[in-house]
Amino acid sequence: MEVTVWTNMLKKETKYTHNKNVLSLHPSLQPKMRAILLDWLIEVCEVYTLHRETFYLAQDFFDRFMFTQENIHKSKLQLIGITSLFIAAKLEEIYPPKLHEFAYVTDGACTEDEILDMELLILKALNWELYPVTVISWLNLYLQVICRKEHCNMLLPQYS
Amino acid sequence: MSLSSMACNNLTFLFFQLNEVSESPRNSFACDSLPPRLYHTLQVRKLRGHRNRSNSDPLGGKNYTQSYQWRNGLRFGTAASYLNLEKLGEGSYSTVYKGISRINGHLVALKVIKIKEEEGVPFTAIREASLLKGIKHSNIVLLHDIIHTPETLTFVFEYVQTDLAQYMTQHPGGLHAHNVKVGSTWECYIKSMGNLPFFHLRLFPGLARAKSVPSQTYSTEVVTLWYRPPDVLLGATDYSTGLDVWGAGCIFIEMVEGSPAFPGVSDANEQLQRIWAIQGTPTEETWPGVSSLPNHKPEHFRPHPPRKLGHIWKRLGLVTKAEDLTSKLIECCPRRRIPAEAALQHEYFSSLPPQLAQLPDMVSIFTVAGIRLEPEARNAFHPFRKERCSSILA
Repeated sequence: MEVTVWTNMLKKETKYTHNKNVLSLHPSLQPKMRAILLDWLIEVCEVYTLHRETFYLAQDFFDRFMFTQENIHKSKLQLIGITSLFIAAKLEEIYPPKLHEFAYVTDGACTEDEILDMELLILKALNWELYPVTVISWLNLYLQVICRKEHCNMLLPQYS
Repeated sequence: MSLSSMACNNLTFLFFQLNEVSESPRNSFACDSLPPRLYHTLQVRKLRGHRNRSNSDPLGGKNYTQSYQWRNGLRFGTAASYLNLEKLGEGSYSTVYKGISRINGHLVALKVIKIKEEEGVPFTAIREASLLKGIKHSNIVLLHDIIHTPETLTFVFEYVQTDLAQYMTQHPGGLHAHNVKVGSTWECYIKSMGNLPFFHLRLFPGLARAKSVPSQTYSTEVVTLWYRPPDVLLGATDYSTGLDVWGAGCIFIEMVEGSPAFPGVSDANEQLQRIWAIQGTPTEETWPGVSSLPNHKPEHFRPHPPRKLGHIWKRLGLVTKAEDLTSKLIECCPRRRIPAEAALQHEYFSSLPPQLAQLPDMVSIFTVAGIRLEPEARNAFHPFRKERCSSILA
């Protein structure tokens, strides 16, 4: 059973491809800009008390989306970022924040309509593949492996 | 809310492959030379005869492009490539039409989702699409194509003739014992699909959610009340496939009996009382750890003795081993509940061909020799056939 879990995670990891050279597709962007964006997104997550998994989903969507695009201007980054979070929250949260709240936190930089248009663009560009293995998932697995060594009676995942 | 009305919201998820066999004997209609506009009529007359993997292929594998020139230049992903034929149903966020693909002439189900109304693409649609994109399995409806327009989003599914909910509405009073057995193998397969990237499948509407890793917690709202296991009702959040096994047990009873197993109407407490009244109130002996669950309240645990399932659900007792399997599926203690794979090995299924266990994902169970459905005794849409069907059986 553990082997199935492991191989499936690896298989998924190859399906959801990331590329560290993504910025070479966008000459006007600097690595720092992505860092700033992600810092801001995690702040938004804190304000609305979103799960950490939601943040990492958004990060995955953002990175993979950027890999499908070329020459994105920095003025679009925030829109892509907040829309990624908007999608991630709808997937992961039980009570996701409303669209107007996502628009609100951008302080006028992104309108609700822009977010909705970008949502479709992102979903299409990602080919609706929205369940990556996030770092949180890996961490969960590693913690379970460790715990299992220490507490043999721990409830094992029953995924089958 | 009944199983059937729920499933309307979920027209696309986990459809049952059922050949409609309760009507007249197989007769092949000569369709080789008909122009495509007649497909609709053909479909209404119901497809008969053997059908394998492709539910969306009404022509039994015959290729029409040879005899009829389809419009050239149409591509997937555009609305012009599909023609709406008739409305099949309306859900809370979508409308489903029967349609035909102008690319290859296949019948399709078009699920048209309104967006932009409030929150963009509904979360149910996002989850549904991303889940189904990752699954190719003969018992799960295929998502062919997604069409975007500014106001709507259309999911193009393979067309399936009926689903479990519709089938049960059409045949009230419980299904034929043999058909329940064939259908239940499907249920268990869904849950024992080790080679799917462990998607956590929900049999219930609007709740499609895949998780890549265990130990994720969910809201207790995840499963509609009737199919919710007692551990979830009591606030446990570390559940996994055991949840689906309980639900499968409830659906199993519903297929056999023709009515829901635990049709609670108000809240979790009432739902628990309904379960205790039949399964007996759990104690620390029968369910270690039950008293430390978050929503455990002593007043909800007035003692009830367990009752014999065959006394409550009479039809269960009529089929060999069905009662025993049910008791293992709806075991209150999640750790003692039978795993889906083990359920498939249960003696109840031993009358079915053993090849079923080795069936690849993409092959329908109806390809196995000896697997077919029997005519149902009752047909709500054709009540006067009742006698005829019984006479065939006799």
